[in-house]
Amino acid sequence: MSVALALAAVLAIAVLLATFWNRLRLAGRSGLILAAVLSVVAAAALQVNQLVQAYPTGGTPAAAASGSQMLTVSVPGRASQLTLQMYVYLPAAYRTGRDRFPVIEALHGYPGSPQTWLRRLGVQSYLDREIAAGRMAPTVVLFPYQTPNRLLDTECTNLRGGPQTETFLTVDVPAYARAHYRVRHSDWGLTGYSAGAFCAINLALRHPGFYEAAASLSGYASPGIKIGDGSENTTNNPGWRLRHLPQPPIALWLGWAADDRESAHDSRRLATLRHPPLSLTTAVVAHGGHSDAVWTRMEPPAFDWLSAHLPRPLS
Amino acid sequence: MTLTGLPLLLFAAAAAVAAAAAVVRLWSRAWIAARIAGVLLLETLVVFAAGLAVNRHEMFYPSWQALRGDTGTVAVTAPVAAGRLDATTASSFRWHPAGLAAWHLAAPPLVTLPADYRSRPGVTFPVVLSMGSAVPRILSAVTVTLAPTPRTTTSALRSLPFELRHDLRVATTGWVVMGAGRSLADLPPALAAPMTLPAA
Repeated sequence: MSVALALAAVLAIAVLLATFWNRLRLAGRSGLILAAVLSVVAAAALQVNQLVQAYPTGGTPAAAASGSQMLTVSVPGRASQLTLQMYVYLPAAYRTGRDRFPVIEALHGYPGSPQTWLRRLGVQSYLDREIAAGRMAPTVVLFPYQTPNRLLDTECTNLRGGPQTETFLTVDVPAYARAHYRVRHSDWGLTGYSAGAFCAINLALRHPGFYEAAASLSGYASPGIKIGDGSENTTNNPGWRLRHLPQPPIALWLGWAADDRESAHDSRRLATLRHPPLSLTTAVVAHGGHSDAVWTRMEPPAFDWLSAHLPRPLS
Repeated sequence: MTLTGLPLLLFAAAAAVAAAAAVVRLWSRAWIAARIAGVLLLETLVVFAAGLAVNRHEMFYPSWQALRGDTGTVAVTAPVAAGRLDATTASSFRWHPAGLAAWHLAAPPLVTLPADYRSRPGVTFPVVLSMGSAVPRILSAVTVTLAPTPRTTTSALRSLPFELRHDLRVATTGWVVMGAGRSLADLPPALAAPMTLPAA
């Protein structure tokens, strides 16, 4: 919608430029050229935002009386001092079930937002489908924001002198979920695409007592940012961790597209570095690069695999 | 021409420059409709060239195929390794793994396979571990019932998930452990500690 409006503005300004050029002086002509450039940049920026959903507009689908629900909540971060929004997927069985449900935290890429999962990757309908088919146990899935500033790439770490995202995701979000929903208190799963996939691997390796399994969709072996304490080369670097630290008894699923050079290279490297008791499954999509199409392709098998590696309700 | 190749990028950039030159040169002689078309063409070519440059650098879409959203027909998952006991016909059996003696159990573990174990050969199944009473057959999970003795230690039992992984298609994480937390009195002291197999 907004892209269509921007394209209409591009057209209108082109018409003005062509029609009134001869009647204008320098100032008017400069103004029109500036307007033309701005309109094109705006249209391109809106289209990119449409793709990555860094600044999403609108909320979640309206709550239905039956079936699964997608809630919007605000998580107060007592430990991290971050208060960020989060979307909560409650499976249809949550309405009737009495057991504590398994939990998966699903992380977004950069630039991006949890709305990328909801809108571009259609996560609610995929989860509904996999659960209904019995390939996945009914699971509560959390989609937290990972940064207070959309243009600040945190890679889910505690930035020196910046947002404490790792604390938010591993302390505040679990505390909130435990207080508000019937969920398991530990043995959670993690997933994410792109930068969120790096986050999933890194957080699972750093907190193996809390996370049982992580599924990475086109992830990386290093954060690619400066954290401020040099840990991007050591303890916040899964490649380094697998090489130099004892590997934890958790399970990783690494998926990538064969033609996504960097992610394919990094994921293969992680796969060659792993040894027991860390267990590892890999999945390769033939082609598709670093795009929504690849992630929607990997989404159902990744969630099914995660679910098989998490404790599930017995009824 | 490939989507991320230099030829296409250079061609797009050259076309943008040529369009700019043409618009400037022919502006005063052109009809208004031609001017509008020229401006829009120029803008389109500039955006196209910039988009190609960004995509060439970041490799979001490495090919035209990828740009169309075509990911190939199948996501190839590393094959699920079959368990050595996958061909067993019984849905419930006494399990005699190599490491059995080290666990000091009262009897070999009782293993019950879910009804869909054999019809889904590509699937790794979760495990429900019961300390004590046998668990009824559960949909889509392998159940293992152990009869621990006072000599059974959690550290010895750590090899259990990996032994089971050899013999059956099961996950080695995310086990539900029943009985350990509920009736502490029935359990040997070694198992009364918080049980989180296999990540003890």
